[in-house]
Amino acid sequence: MTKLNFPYGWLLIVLLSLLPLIPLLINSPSLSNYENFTHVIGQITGLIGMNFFALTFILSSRFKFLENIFGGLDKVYKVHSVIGALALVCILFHPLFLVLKYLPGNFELAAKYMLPGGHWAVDFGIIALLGLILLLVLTLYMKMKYNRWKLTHEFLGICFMFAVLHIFLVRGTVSRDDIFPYYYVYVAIVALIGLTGFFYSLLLRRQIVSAGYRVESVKSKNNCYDITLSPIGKPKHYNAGQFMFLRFHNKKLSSEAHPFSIASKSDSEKLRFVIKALGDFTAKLSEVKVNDRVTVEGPYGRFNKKSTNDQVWIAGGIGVTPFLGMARDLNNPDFKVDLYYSVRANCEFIALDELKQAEKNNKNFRVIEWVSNDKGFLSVDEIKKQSGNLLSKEFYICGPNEMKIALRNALISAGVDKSKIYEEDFKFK
Amino acid sequence: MNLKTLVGVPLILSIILAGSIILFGAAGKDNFFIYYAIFAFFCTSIIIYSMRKIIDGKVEYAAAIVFGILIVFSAAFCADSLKSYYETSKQLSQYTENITQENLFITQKNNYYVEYINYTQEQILKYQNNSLFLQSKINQAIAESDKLREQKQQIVIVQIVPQDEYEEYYDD
Repeated sequence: MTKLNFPYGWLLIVLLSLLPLIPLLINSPSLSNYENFTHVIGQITGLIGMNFFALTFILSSRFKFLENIFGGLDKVYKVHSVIGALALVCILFHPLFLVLKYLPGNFELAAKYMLPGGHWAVDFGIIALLGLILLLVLTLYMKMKYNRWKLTHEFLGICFMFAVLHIFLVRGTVSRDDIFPYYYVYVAIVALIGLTGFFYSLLLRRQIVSAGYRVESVKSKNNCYDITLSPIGKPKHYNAGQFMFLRFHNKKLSSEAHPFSIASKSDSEKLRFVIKALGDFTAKLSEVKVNDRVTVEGPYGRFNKKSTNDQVWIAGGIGVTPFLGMARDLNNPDFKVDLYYSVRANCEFIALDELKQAEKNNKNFRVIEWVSNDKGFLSVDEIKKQSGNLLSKEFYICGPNEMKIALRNALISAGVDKSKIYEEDFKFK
Repeated sequence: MNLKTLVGVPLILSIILAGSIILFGAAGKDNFFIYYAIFAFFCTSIIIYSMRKIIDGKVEYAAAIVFGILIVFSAAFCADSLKSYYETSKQLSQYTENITQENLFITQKNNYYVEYINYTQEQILKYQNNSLFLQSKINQAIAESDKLREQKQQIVIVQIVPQDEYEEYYDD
């Protein structure tokens, strides 16, 4: 898949969000007046905020076309987070700009407008705004378990419904003008976009894109679980390096789906996942038993570009999992692949024997072990020393966030083009 | 920009603005200083807490708390002064409006009385004119009746009526 250098996705989002401003500005009264100016700015922030809010539901729906537009699900989720934050910012300033027209003359009226109890249309908006603030503060600033966070995040759909009620009822009641012609068409489109995304994610996605698997084997070593799944029905097609969302049907584990990198080779019937017990969910994976049913959703991700250029793979700790499948996919390639496998201590290496076997089978594939407790952090200078000229190579990085950021910045400083550095971010929360 | 900062800065800014507007509009003048100080304390605490990673060491923390307290009281003092100014100017404008309305009422009442007096004067004049006219008519009528009386006295003929005839006539 070719990397999209131009941010078409962002352009699309900006255009979609700004579209309703055209009829608004055409229809709006003269902006030279202070009252009209603040009123229109209030309307603009409300409209853009509502558009962003609706788009966040589409962005979190995991539709395949979004991956193609943004270059991977991790990127889609990053855009989702930013758009969600911008939606909150716009919606926060929407009532503030609207009440500016009463100030400084009439603080009582401004306060009355901002407090509930005046009119249903406004009250719905206040409920939506307070809910949005509460849920986004929980998301961004509170540390909570993934399943609880997921549950609270789903309530954003209810906030959106209140916001739709607000924008639907506000015209002809509280709003002092008609906003713009065909306003209800706009409201219908926004509601349709947001609610489609919300209800698809909540109810339909599981049925449409999921498949049933059974646990065939579970091996535990060094605080890691090597889990193999066999399909109950039709197996999923995927590329090594992609990831899937797994939901274990086991009463001792929470029921929400978690993303894990596929460690098996491309399109293998059986799925393999190597998972380290790092969080509250993965710590309970010891409870997984053979024959447990697992719902698999995916595959997602664009980490494996299937390029034929010389490559450097950099794995940090459990970040080696996508490379396990990618190494198995290698079939004596013409291009060189160097895998730098960095761990803190020698005992933390996972499936090193498999990688060594792949090294034996492929003359152009090298595995370079790196123990940071002994040698310090892996540096770009070290990579240059071992792999030669960096500029002609492609880089695939998977590991802890700090390591990815440090290496990416160092590679860019060394002259490597940004478009040749691929990484995948699993921070969906 | 960090997502937390992207949301955090506008969020605290809008809380300060919205909270101030609501307090200014909905809270009474009495105890406004205390209400605003509590609100400012809440906002300053959030700001200092969000900057905990930037603030380095106990001395800086202590300085931040001292500055925070200063900011809380300064903000509450300024807000209280503004509230007093706002309330006074509102009262003044209310008084001005009341006085204007009272003036208007008095002027309207004055105008009514002036009109009433004018009307009454007109009526008096009218009655005076009427009475003069009537007086002249009465005088004219008296003059005419005197004239008629004089004329009647001149043609009186004394008739001697016989006694019998007269009695018969009387019985009838």
